[in-house]
Amino acid sequence: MAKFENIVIVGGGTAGWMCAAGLASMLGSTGLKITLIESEAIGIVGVGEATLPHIKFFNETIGIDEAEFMAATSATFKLGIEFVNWGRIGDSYIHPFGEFGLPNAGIGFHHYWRSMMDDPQTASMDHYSLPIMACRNARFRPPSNDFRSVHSTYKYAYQFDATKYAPFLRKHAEERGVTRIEGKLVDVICDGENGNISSVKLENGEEISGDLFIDCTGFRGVLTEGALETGYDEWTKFLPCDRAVAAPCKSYGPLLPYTRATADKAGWRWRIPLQNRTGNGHVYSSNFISDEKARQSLLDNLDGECLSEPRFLRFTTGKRKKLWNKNCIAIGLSGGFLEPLESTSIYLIQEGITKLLEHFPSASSVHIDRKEYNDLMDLEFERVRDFLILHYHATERDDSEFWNYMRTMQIPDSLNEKMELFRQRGRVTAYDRGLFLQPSWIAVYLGQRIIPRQWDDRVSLLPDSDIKHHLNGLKQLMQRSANELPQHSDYITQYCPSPLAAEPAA
Amino acid sequence: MTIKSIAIIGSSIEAWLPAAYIRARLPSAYKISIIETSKSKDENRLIARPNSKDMHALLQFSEADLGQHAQAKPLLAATINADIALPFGRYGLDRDGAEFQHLWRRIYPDTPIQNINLFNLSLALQKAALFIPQAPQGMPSYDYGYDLSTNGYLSMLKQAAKDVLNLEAKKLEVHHDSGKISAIDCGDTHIQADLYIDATRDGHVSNIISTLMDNWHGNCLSICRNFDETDHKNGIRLYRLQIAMERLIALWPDTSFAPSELNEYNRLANAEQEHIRDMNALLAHDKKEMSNRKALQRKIAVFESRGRIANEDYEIFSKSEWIAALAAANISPASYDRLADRADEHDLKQWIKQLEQAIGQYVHMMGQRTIKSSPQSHGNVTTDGNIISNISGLVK
Ligand SMILES: Cc1cc2nc3c(=O)[nH]c(=O)nc-3n(C[C@H](O)[C@H](O)[C@H](O)COP(=O)(O)OP(=O)(O)OC[C@H]3O[C@@H](n4cnc5c(N)ncnc54)[C@H](O)[C@@H]3O)c2cc1C
Repeated sequence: MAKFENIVIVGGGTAGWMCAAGLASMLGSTGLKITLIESEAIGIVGVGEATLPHIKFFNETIGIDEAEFMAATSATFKLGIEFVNWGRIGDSYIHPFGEFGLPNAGIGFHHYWRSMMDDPQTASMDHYSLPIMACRNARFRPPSNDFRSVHSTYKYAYQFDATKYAPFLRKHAEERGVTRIEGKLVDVICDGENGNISSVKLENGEEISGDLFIDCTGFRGVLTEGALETGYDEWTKFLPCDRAVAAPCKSYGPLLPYTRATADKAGWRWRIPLQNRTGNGHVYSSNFISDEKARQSLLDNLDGECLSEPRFLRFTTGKRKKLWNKNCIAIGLSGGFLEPLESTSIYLIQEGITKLLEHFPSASSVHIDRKEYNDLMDLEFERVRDFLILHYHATERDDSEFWNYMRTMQIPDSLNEKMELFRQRGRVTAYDRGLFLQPSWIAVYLGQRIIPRQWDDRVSLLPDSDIKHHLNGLKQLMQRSANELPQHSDYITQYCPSPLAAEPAA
Repeated sequence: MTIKSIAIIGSSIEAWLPAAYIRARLPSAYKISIIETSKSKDENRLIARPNSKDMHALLQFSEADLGQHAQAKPLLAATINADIALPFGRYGLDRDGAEFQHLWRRIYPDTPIQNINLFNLSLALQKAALFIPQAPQGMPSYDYGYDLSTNGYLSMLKQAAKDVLNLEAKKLEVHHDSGKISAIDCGDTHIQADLYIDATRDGHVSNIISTLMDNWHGNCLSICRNFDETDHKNGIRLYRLQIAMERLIALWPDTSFAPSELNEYNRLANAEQEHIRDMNALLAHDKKEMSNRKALQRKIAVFESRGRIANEDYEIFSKSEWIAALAAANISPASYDRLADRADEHDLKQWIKQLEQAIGQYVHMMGQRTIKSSPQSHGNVTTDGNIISNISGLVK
């Protein structure tokens, strides 16, 4: 019977080294032999700089020191994502890693806000969230552990240099016994009987055998697609962006603790502030705009001087039909890509690793482990997908063919039901699992002008003056609390300065 | 338009809990009538699962009140029969990222699965007829629910419900029009309401207006039509009512009864019902029913292969309750999580032995410190700092 002791990871990008570091830290002591193959000649995709708060847990679990990691990757803190021009041109809202308002009688804050939305004294939702006020004022401090404090109402993630995270993890993984092999994989040898991969062959002739293979070869999917022909479910009908052009530029202005996503004519542009530079990119649909126009739009909108020639990337949104096929698990871009709008890719890598640790196969259980893993990961992908589609579909924009398509396209029934429920009375479909929880859905719904027709009855029964008083008190509390936080740049300078930040960006 | 009047049709706690709950959560402006159907024989005792504490806080039922008026006895597990109790506490302690059952399986690969019950402190205490409200540091944690007198609890609900128009159903004639109830003739009067809550166990009222199995149709919400005898034992009888009310309040409608809100209610209620059926099929060891239930089959297969409890959305029963029920059905894991291999074997063996001893000694010591009263006596619940004493035979 199959044993799973010899693990071969192919690919040394963020996915490959996260897998190697994760497996080595958690299972290295159980006798696993972990080998990672990567080819410097091929290189890594090198984008993917914005993350979600979950990564903090990953880093902590494998024993990474936060300040050291942040300095090594020129990282900054991230409290949310600003969406500009999505509902209408001129709109801006922030999807925070945290709450709106404070818990009150079991009724969501947005019901109070909605009931007074038309009152001139009522500010936009942003003003009632501490993480958003911190973003707007370029301030940051880690949250408090005291759950009674308003300072405990947020979480944070990082924005980092994607080319530096994998090398940082490599050091960590190699210290924990991972063997790295440099070389280009040219052939995959499968078992004639069961179709499992038995070994891979490198350009120099070396053959490396394994019990379990993890395909982290990026979009190519060299093992899962190249050898096993697993197949791919395309989601381009719902998420039609298929290209990106990326370029860093000099930083300008205050160091912002958030990522910005600005809707463009046929896609959107990201802006990710790091300590030493700003990462930028334009994600677009090649059906609606030419590469040259996309590039020009990116360059026209940079904050400062462009630091390198813009680089083009191509992708197809969707997911591998089986993320775990035979004895091969596709993690990272080889498994699928949903598009970077909500920084979910690295999170999905992390989920892939966590679920692999939880379902690490044994001879007797492998069939069930594989099925469980695939079912659970499919659910993750699908729930993220619905949330992404919402951003594109909930729009009033009619200024380009792209937005006309997105606004009028048919969306999955599951999403339609969610939107209708919110429109009715501000209720958010409840799930136990899935990445995005209530506050995230509320931020995007309201930020993109899905305004509930009604609100919770219990709020209607309160005197207007009480609600106004409550809203006003919260607004002042959030502003005051945000002002208590240090400037993001000051916090970084004293906590985790990057050696690169001191040098002029080059 | 805002809902202004509610008519509840049913008897016992099924009818009175909604009235009390709605009174507590929504202002008293709502007019509530209860059309009491003839009382069928009721169980004497009522099991309240740990989550009932939230509802009791809302209804302002203190533990002292529950003790005094409903002869509350704390419960650390729900007893299903002589062989099965579903614990409200954890099995052992987790370590190195692995859950306890995996660590235990690694050390005891061939031991009958039921022996894992030795590592559940809530089960051990309950078996010894002891109650301590909180596990000591370094021991498997647990929560507790209550074993209540149904009549006593019902009186408390009646008091909390306040200002309810209580009518006896001399007959029950439901007038309806295009899927909505227009009035109920209960003999002496016609009752008209904006919202009707069908609290009959056979879904008597809602079946008249729709043949669909969903719980909510138009202006009629059915809250306990899927009643099963096991519900008395595992605490689902009360749980189901509590959750139905939480869900109703969270989706509180107006008289337009928007389909999106009803659909969401039904989606959640249906999922809940499936979980209850899964558990009941397993507890009854009903082989045919078990093989027809997909989610249960998944739970069994995953547990059998590697001792993991596969979670679904909106689980009702905790992992520990599932482990207890699977173990009682003699479903044994063939292997364990790889994460359990992280610890040194010798070290792990010692640690598990020590835990077993510690649990045994703790239960013994607590038994020594208490004078057991007869199992029939219902101690009064009094809150004494953090310790509830004089309860369930534990007299300090
Ligand atoms: C435009 C864009 C923006 C993104 N933005 C974000 C973001 O903001 N946040 C986020 O979380 N994610 C983002 N992502 C996704 C993120 O970049 C990836 O999830 C992440 O970088 C992981 O990539 P990877 O390791 O799977 O693949 P890659 O980085 O492509 O690595 C593939 C590895 O496989 C090796 N390899 C390939 N073929 C062979 C071979 N034949 N032999 C040997 N080695 C081989 C390569 O050398 C390389 O080491 C973005 C992606 C794109 C395209």
